[in-house]
Amino acid sequence: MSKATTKSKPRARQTAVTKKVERRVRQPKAALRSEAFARALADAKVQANNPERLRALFEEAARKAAAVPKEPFEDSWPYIQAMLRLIRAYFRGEYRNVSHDDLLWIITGLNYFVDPFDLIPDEVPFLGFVDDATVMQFAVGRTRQTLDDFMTWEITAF
Amino acid sequence: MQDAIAAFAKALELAKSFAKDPEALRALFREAMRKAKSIPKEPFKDLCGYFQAMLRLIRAYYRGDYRDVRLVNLVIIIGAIIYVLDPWDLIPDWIPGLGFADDATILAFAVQKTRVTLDDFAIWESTAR
Repeated sequence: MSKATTKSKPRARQTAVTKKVERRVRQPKAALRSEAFARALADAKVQANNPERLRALFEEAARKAAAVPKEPFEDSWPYIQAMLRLIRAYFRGEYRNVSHDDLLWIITGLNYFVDPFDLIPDEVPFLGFVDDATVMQFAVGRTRQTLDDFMTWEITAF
Repeated sequence: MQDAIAAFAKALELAKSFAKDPEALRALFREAMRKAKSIPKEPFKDLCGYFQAMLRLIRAYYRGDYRDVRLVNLVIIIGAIIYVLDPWDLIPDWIPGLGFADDATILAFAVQKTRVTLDDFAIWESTAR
């Protein structure tokens, strides 16, 4: 009996510490585990094959991008704008050089961005777009090569 | 950093003469287009997106599609493009690992000065066309 307690004590302490550290590490990525993100990804799978829905998403996201504060997004901002232009070129059929996975990440990012009721509702002052920035940075990180290629195409093709 | 700014000053002088000359801007854009694939992206990190925006802005400007830029910002943008494209700047671009470090410094400086202009231009691109 006593042996069992001495054994379980350090283990219990250890798991408590790991949990704490884990929580701290995972906190910034909470947006990526949110229901809103899961919803954005599930919707993206349907939208990817539907030019009309992509157009609607593009128009909503472009309108919103023109109105929101840019500071939370830092240097990923031009890439977010590139995502918008890529989606527009994609549904117009001008540009198709994007893998299905990358297309999904881009649509997911934009879905999360336009959703006003995501993890931290967008109307919350100062914080409303922090979770959007996390999601967008993640999506940009996944698709940077595609976005760079698209921007190179933009300056060489027209 | 001081040396890089001094070298950038030269590019800015040239930029001033380019700003009012659509033909010169077209030639600069063409040169950027040719070199776009040979300029490495790593030293510029996240600034690549802004550099590309600068190029698109210059194109829209000389074509007359977009003119909503103050002259001082236009000159900084043109100066940054000239500097990045110039292989014989402070640290010659062909020096492995270092050649583009000065270009990245200058680009970061130029983006810091013209961020609002570039962001506004990107919004115009995604809403007006």
